[in-house]
Amino acid sequence: MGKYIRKRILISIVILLLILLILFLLLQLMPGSPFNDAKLSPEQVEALKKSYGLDQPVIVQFFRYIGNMLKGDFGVSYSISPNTPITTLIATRFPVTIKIGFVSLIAGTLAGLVLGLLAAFFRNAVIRFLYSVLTLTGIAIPSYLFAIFFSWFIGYKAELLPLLYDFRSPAASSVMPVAAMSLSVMAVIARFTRSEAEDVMKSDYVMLARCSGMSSWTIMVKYILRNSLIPVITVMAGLLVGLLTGSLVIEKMFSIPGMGELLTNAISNNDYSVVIALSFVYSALYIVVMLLLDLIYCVVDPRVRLGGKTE
Amino acid sequence: MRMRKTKRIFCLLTLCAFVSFGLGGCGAAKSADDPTTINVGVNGAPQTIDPQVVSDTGSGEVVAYFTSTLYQYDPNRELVPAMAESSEFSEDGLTVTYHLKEGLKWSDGVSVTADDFVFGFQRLADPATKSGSIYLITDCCKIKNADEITVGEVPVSELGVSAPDNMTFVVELEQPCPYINSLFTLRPMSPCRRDFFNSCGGNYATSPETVLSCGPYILERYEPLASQIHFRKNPDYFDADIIEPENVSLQVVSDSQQAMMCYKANELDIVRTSGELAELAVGDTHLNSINTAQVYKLEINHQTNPALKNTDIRMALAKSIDRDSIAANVMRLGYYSMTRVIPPNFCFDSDGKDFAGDTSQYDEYMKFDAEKAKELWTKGLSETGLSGAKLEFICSSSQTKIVEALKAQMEKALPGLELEILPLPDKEWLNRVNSGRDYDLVLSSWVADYADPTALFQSCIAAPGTIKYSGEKFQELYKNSYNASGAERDSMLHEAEEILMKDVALIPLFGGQSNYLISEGVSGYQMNPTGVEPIVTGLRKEMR
Repeated sequence: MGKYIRKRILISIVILLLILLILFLLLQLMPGSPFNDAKLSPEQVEALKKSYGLDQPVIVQFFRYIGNMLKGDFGVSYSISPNTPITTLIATRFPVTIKIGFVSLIAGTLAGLVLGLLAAFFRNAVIRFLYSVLTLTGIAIPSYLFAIFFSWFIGYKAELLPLLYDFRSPAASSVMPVAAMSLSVMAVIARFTRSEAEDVMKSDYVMLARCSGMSSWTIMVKYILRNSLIPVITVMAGLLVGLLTGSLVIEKMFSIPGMGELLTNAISNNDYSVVIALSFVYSALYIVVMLLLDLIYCVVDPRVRLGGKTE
Repeated sequence: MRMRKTKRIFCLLTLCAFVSFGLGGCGAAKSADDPTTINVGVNGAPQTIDPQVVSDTGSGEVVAYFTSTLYQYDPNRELVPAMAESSEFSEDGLTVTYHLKEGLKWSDGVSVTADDFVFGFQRLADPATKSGSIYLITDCCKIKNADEITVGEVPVSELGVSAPDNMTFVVELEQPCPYINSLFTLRPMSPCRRDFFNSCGGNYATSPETVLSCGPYILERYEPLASQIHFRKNPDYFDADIIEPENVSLQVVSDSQQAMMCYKANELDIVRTSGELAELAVGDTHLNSINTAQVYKLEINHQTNPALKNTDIRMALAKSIDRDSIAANVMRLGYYSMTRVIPPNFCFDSDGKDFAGDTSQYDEYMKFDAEKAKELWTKGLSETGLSGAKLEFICSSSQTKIVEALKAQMEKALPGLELEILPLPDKEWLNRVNSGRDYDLVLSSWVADYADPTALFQSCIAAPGTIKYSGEKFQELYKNSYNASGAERDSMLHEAEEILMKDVALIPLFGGQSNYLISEGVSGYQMNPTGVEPIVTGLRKEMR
């Protein structure tokens, strides 16, 4: 196990370095520079480039960047927020995105689990109808349409919730974005849970448990829920990274100062250092989440053993 | 029995999960309920709040609340002294002396001195500040040694600014600058206190704690690329008596639909609006349109394209464009057609008359007239011996709609004209425009920095080796206007504009407007003549 984790971490570091190098080269190939103002003379643009060290060869810039990064310094933004340390930009935005992403994931997953299990358990027409409507709309309708819908009816017409994210009332102002983002999570989780739960319910061991007089509640929690969780966890990891990188449209619509907006802003402004730092953070995040996922598998299903050894 | 219990638990859980979406809300805050706070919606997050680094309008809008400058525009858009009491120009116009007002204070209670201006200007010039606004002191006005300092050839201490005493600030110029007071209303020219800057240790202007206010408001909440920024009234501001609202809150709303809903739901008092959404508000008495000094124009290759060297052909192009129809149908609300270089209500002659009060003055050369355009086109072609013209028309990829409309009109009016549209990514497009090379026609826009015709003529000055217009008479008038004053200068500038239009040096197309929806009870929101900074001293809010 320990060996397996060490190997995974080592591979991750190599992958991250490769990602950095590729990003560096790609951004160098892009036309234009971060300093595009018709009013600046070519000499002034050169002076600006020099002051940020952008006049040096790519390879020098690359190793200097890696060196600084190891010291926890991601450099400063060139154009979207001139001279602001990127760590500051990330530090102020990451918590907001994480908070909204996590809450969306948890709300969506809980609702999805309950909906999926309900649909698997009861073959009642009302529940089946509710399940079909909620999962189909959740999957087919993009989250920004839900956001527009909520904004119009709940925020504007009914005036129940604020239309924009407000740091003075973060809970109330997060409800609409969280609801919009968690509906698709709910739909995906519900579909997986239902199909897995139905399979498990037909299995011999559940049948045996029933015959032995175990309560429905115990059967559901001990056998059905637990065994249905494995595919759900796999899906959740992907959803989590998606939510943490921030939903650009939702962030834009509700003016949430999050990561998605920062990244697109940086890309469209050629702010190399911010793009690289954010891509690095995302890649690292994805790798860590995947590693954690493998470890959670072991807990949920003791049959899974990592590192190629089987018991 | 057990099954029923399970069912109950399920139902309860389901209820919890769905209701949890709706909980937490306790109603939206209404701006109309609070007469002490003005809530303003802005389009984008400010890039910086370091006054010397500010180069975009979003940042200028924020910095305007907590800084002050030597001169300012009052709520009637008149240029008046702000922190300066008065200014004196030397006879040769190369030295300008500013006498500061008595009793000026920073928000920490320390007095503002002339040295704070010296340090502010030096920071702007210093390459270490990495300011994108350095052109203001190298091109818009030429402060002594600024050119050499900005590229790191001469130390910052050599900049032509000094403080002979605490109340006197002196600027030395390499060339007279008749409009310098208008230029010195801009935020990069605001003061900066040396000891405070040094005490911030590299974090200057990154949080409310690392800036000092000398303007009407004090910054209370801000973080880099913030979506919410708060200010409270500065009791130490020199004109604090005229500032009414106790608080101002800026809210970034990049989605225009959401901004409109916020305005209608009374969450925001002032929102900027444009395009189709703004059209929904046409007829609304609360819609305010303010002209800006943003000018869209076609720039022409004057040097290497044989067809475009001919004035008749250029004029035919200019007269083949029905600007009104494009402004109304393609660009929608926020733009108006222009047939001269200078927009109306932007700058004034020395006798106070609007420089461009007569918007149809150059219609003879520029106004849409399909027949006349065709006549000129045929004449031009026969003069040059060409049978038609194939021109490369470059634009930014975000402007293809406008360019396609232009192409359709021009090709329809001028038989034998073939325009090949080449949309480019913004950066690449800007590179080509800046270098003044490699295009036949290019759609570009320019925003004036200060209220003087030269601010818009500046972009017509051709650098050597470029394909831009290089009329000698125009260049001479432009240059001489810096050494002239009063009516003599006015007539030079009018003549310069006439030459540009008569020679069709460029084809002016549209002027920009900023449209604001301003709630009932809120008044006094105004923009400076260039439309890049708000005038915040006149803001008022009454209880509805």
